[in-house]
Amino acid sequence: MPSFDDSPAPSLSDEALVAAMAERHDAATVAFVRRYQRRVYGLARALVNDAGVAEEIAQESLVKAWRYASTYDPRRASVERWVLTITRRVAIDYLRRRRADPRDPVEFLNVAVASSDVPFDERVEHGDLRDRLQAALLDLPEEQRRAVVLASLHGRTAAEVADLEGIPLGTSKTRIRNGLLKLRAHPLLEKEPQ
Amino acid sequence: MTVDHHDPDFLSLRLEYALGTIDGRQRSVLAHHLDECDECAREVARVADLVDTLTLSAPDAEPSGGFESRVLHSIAREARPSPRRARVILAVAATALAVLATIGVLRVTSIQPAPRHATVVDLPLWSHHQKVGTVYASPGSASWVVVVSFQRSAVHHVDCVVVTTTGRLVDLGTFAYGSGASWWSALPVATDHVREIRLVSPTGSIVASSGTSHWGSWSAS
Repeated sequence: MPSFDDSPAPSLSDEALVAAMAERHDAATVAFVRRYQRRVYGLARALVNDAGVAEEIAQESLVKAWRYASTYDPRRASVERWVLTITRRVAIDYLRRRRADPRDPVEFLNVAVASSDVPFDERVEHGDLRDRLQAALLDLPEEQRRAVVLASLHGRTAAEVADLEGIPLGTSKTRIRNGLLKLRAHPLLEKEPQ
Repeated sequence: MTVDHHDPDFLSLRLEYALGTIDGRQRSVLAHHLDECDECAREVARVADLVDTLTLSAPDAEPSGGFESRVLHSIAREARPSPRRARVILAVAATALAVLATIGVLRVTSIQPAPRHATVVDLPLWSHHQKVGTVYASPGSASWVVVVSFQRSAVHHVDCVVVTTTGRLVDLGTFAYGSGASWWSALPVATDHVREIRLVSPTGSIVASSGTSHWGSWSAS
């Protein structure tokens, strides 16, 4: 049996945890679910209105991560991005096929800004990628921000974005494209390894 | 497919392909083009990567009480459709919580044999006759290793080198070392063809080794 003896044993890295989960180690599975449930549920909650449906999405996403753990490739993405990409796909399926009630596309950013006593600007200056992503999204003109989130996180086509926002198709395409281009060139995201 | 790379309709189509929002027919036409056009393939990869990155922007949120148990119940049902399996994995959840809360230690243990792979095997890492870490591996040919190094060390990065039974050296790459660093890597040779695992400093000295005399007796957990 693996033993850490009485050494100051560490928690496993995300990658090691997924490798152990792929081998169906129960303790690794429990640790993985415990480590990621708030991140996964947070993304689901940002996309759908109903908290119960968000939990269904989060549950299905974590089960899928467990099921496909052996396919995870650390050279392609961090564990966090991998599991959140799974969550995004499950959420899009709920929104499109199961007619889940979508949340206002940019409401989660308002929640994020108000979620701490530390001023948002200060958090961005010293913060992690999530803070910088939120700040970069908030720097976009609101109509582009809505179009980008609808197209990328909600999985809406340009035609659907046009319908939802009450704008011509060409305008919808332009907002999505310009918004994504601005995000990509945003100074806060420039140094982020892609 | 012949395209005008400045045509706004084509650029929109390419963007929607990267976003994953075009229909099957358009998708297959564009996929064919991407096979032949490096510029478009790179652009699609960049946008797809940005979309994946955007998933990180959502704030954490606390699910309702009992959520964790429901997830673990679902996994246990799928892992082995028996009430006993569900009881076992939930017992592990309770135990793990107690262990993490009291000593902050995660022990990767298989509580009962898993369906596909019966065991994980482990071997100590030694440095100057002291145990400084552990190598875990899944046996067989599609194998992986997890290396955990406890010791505080002036060396912070090491190359992990596998010495095979034929004397061949296989470099798995450069990894963090010491002070609780842990990482995993695919193992490109079957465990029964491994004679030793060495962690080598940037100056070429062996920082830690599994030792050759122990290697033939991986202990099953």
